[in-house]
Amino acid sequence: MRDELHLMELVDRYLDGVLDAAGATEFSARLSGSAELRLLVDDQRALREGLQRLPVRTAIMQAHRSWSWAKWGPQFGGAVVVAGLITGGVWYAQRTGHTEHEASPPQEQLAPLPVDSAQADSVHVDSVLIFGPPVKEAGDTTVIHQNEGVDAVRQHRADTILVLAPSGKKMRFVKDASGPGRDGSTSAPPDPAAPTVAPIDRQPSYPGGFAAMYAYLKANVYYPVNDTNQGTVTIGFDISERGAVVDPKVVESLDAACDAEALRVIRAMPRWTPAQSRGQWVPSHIEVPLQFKAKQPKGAPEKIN
Amino acid sequence: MQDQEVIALIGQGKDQAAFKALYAHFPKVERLVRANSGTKADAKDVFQDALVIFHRRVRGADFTLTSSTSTFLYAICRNLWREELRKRNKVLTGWDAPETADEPADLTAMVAREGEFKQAEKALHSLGDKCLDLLKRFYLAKEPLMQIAQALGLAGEGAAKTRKYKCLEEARKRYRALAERDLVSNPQHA
Repeated sequence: MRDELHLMELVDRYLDGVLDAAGATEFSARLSGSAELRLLVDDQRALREGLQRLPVRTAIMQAHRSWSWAKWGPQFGGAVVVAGLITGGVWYAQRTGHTEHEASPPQEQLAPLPVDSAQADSVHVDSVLIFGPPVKEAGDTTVIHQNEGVDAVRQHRADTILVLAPSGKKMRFVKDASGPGRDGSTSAPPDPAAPTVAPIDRQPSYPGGFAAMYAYLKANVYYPVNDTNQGTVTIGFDISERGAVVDPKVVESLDAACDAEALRVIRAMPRWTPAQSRGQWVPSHIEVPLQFKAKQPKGAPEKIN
Repeated sequence: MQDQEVIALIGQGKDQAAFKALYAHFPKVERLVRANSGTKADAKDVFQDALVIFHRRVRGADFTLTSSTSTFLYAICRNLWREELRKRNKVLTGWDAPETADEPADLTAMVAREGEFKQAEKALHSLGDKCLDLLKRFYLAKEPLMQIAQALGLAGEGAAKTRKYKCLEEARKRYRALAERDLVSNPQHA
């Protein structure tokens, strides 16, 4: 297997044109000596070209559709339909909370965001965030409800706070006494390792919105074979400041097989746009319920998956 | 839209806008195909294949516009359709398509490879979603294997590499199968 893998990489490098002079010469020599290798390279060239064409085809189909509309639209009262589509589109966009101005972090570095301090004042406690994972053990806990506001969280004496989110979930957070307090008081020198409470100005988001996330989960969940359990598994996980899904854990369990499957799909999610707070990308915590309904196990596919 | 503008759009990756502008040339192609035993659907297929060839040409190395895009597209379509008719074993009586002087030199070669690439596309589409997703991530999005492994829930880079190999092998197998079938039904002239 190792030899085949190595050859696959070599062919790709050859086709990319990144082999050095010596390597290229050697590979050309091998090619002229082996019809089988020539066939392999030709096939790989064709497959790579085929892949490159997939997005091009999509763009062509879209262009065809819009050209057809431009041609035939007026004749079929297209204006009415288009208006309906636009309204529907706006309504849908508002529902999923997807905004045009969402900055997405580039692959390697996340650029600093422009600071908008005006937003910081009016944050509800369900936006409370912790720099660091939520604490599982109970300390001296007090329940704070969502309408009490971030100030209430900051000024509370308790070290550990239980926050009641709109969904009804309770999440425990450790409060850092040296966090940015409204009254300006700080008790101890700030410990960089300790978690702090700060308002989230924008919640983390899945690329395409929550509708897209549920579509992704639905498309990728493989119901455990012979499992007829119905119910919900809730997975809690952190979204790092780079948007990666970190440390998914089962918050609400159904059974071992469904739990494991739920963890798998959550772990496999693509990068999110991280939460924003005060002009920074910050880590945050999310909980997602997944519904398992009794289903036939996916039939033996003709396709390789 | 001027030819140079369309080419600039393709260079900027604004493919859909470029194609929409190029669709202005479709009526002429439709007339050509329908005048030569083709249907409206045939015309659409031929034209879209020509658009793909044009796009790949522009994005390829050393592209210079030697003739107008209109001539280029028309010439490709004419060749593609003639090739298609040959495959369908239709006799070319009264081939009604004017040839012009300024056509790209390697037109025949381009059209010949076209069939292979279409088969490659077909083979790729027949793969399962997970395989196709992996290959797209690696070859189109150029994601590193580690990232692909994480995204797909694989153990690590090695697992991703092995999975990629298996998917490629499966794609190749299907591609070969399509190519063989094509050879049998369309014996190439010596």
